[in-house]
Amino acid sequence: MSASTDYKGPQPQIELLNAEIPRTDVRAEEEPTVRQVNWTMCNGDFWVIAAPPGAGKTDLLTTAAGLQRPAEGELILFGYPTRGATEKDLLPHRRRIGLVLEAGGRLFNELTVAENVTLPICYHSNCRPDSASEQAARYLEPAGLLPHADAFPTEIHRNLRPRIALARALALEPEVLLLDNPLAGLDPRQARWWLEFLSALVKGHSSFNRRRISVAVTTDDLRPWLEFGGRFALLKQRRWVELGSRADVERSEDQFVKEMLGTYSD
Amino acid sequence: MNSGGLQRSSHAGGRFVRSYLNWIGRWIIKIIRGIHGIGAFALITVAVSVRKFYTAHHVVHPILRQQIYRAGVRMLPMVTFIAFALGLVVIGQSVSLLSRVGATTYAGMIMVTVIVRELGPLAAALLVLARVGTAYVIELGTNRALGEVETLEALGIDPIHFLVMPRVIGLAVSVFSLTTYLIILALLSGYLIAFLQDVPLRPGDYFSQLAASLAWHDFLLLALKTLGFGVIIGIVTCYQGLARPIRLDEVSTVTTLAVVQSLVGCVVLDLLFIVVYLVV
Repeated sequence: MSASTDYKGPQPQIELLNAEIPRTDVRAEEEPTVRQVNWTMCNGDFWVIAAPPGAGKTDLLTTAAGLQRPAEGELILFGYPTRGATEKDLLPHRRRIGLVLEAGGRLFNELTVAENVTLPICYHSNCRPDSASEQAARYLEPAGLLPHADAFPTEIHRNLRPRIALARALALEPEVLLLDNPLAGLDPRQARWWLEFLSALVKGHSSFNRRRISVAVTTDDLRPWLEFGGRFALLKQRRWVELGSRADVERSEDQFVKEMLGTYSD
Repeated sequence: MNSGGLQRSSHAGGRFVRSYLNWIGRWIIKIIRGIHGIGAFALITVAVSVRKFYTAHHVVHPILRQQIYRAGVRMLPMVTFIAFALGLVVIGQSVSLLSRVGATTYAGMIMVTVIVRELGPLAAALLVLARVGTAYVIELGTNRALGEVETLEALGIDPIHFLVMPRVIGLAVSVFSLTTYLIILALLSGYLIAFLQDVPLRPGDYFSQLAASLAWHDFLLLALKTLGFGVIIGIVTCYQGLARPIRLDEVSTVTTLAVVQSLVGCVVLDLLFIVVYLVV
C-alpha cells in the first residue's frame, strides 16, 4: 500500500495557541515579539506566511519547530503539549519536523555536500558516513545535487546551496517541512524549481514513495506563491493574521497584502 | 578654606568612594555571574559526556580523535622546542649553579619541583590555550553567529554532544600527553645541556636523583592537574564561543575573554595543587 492511501484526513501537526513568539535576534535592542499566534498546521497543508524583513518570520518557524518555547501560550507538536516537557521527551516530536533556515540554509561548509546530508542520518542511526552514501544519494538526486556530492558547499553555485539544506532536512524523513524565505536571492528559474518541488512534496513526491509532507514557508513576496500555496497568513504589526485561501488573498483590500502582491498604488 | 568649600570637598570625596565601591560591587557580581555560567555549562557538559559518550559514536568519536590529533599530535614540534628551551633555561642553569656550590645532589629535587610539578604542566596548558583554545572560540563563535548551532538543533543533534564533548575530552587528553612528553624531553635535554657544560654529574646519579625525588603522588597529581587544565581550557573556550547568541563582530571580544578566563582558571587550579603538594 502506498503512503498516499494512508491519508486519514487533516490531523493537527503543529498547533500554536495564543502564542507569543520570543525574539532571539541578538541585534535587536528591545525584544519585540509576534503576539497572539493561533496557527494550526495539519497534514497536507501548504502554508505561506508573508511578512516584511525583521517581522519575526525566523522566530515563528524556530518556535513552531520546537527549538524554542513560546513566551506565552501553547505549542503542541503532533498532539504533544510542549509546556514543561524535557528536551529528551520533545526530541522525537521535533525530529518529525524539518527546518530549512534562511541565508542559504546555514550549511556546514567544512563538510562536503554529501556529508552535509549524511550527518543527520549517521548521527541518529549511528552509522559510518561512508556507509550512508547510498541513502544520501536518495535525497541528493531529486534535488539535482548528485553531480556535486563530493564538492564543498562553497564550491558550487550560490543558487544551488539552499537545495543542500533542503536535502539535509528531507534526510530525516520529516512529516512537516518549515522553510524560512526559501526563494530569497534566487533567480526566476531556480525559484520555479523550488515552487514545483515543494508543491510536489505536499502532494507526494515520486522520489519519496509519494509520502505527503506538509509545508510551511515564510516569504516577503506573496506573488510567486499564489499559484502553489494552499493557505495564507500574514505577520502584521507583530500579530498573526490568517488570510485564508488564494481567492481570499486576491480579494483582500488590506494595504499590506496589496504591497506584498505588488498591486498597491497610492 | 571656608566651611562651604570643606563641605563640597567632603561630598566629592564621598561620591568618589561610593562610585569606587559601586565599581567593585559590579565587578564582583560580574565575576560571580561568570563563574555561575561556566559552572553550569561545565556540569551540563559532564552530564552529556557521561550519558552520551557512546551515542552516535561512529560520528562523534572520529571528531574526538580529530581533536586529539589537532590539540596533541600537531602540537608536538612546538612542545619539543619549548621542552628544549625549558631544559636549557631551568635545568642547565640550576645544575651549573649547584655544581659551583657543590650541591649537585639537589639537582633531581629542583628539577622535579620546577619541571614536573609546575612549569611542565603550565607550559603545555598555555601552549594548547594559545594555539588551539583560541581557535576553538573563534570557530564556535563564528558557528554560533552564523546560526549553525541552531541548524544542529533543528537536525536533532545536541551541540554539546557534537561540538563541546569532543573538544573538552580532546583537550584534556592532549594536555596530559603533551605535558608528559614535555617533561621527559625537558629532563633529557637539561642533562644534555649540563653535560655540554662539563658539569660533573653522571647520568646514573642524575636519574637516581630524579627517581628519589619523585613520589607516587607526583604521578597521580600530575595526571589530575593536566587533565584539569585541559578541561578548564575546553570548557571556558567552548562556553565563550557557544553559550550565548553572539554577533560576528563580538567573536574577537569573546576570544580575548576566553583566554583571560582560561588563564585565571589554570592558575587558580595550580594554586590549589600547590596546597595539595604541601599537605601530602
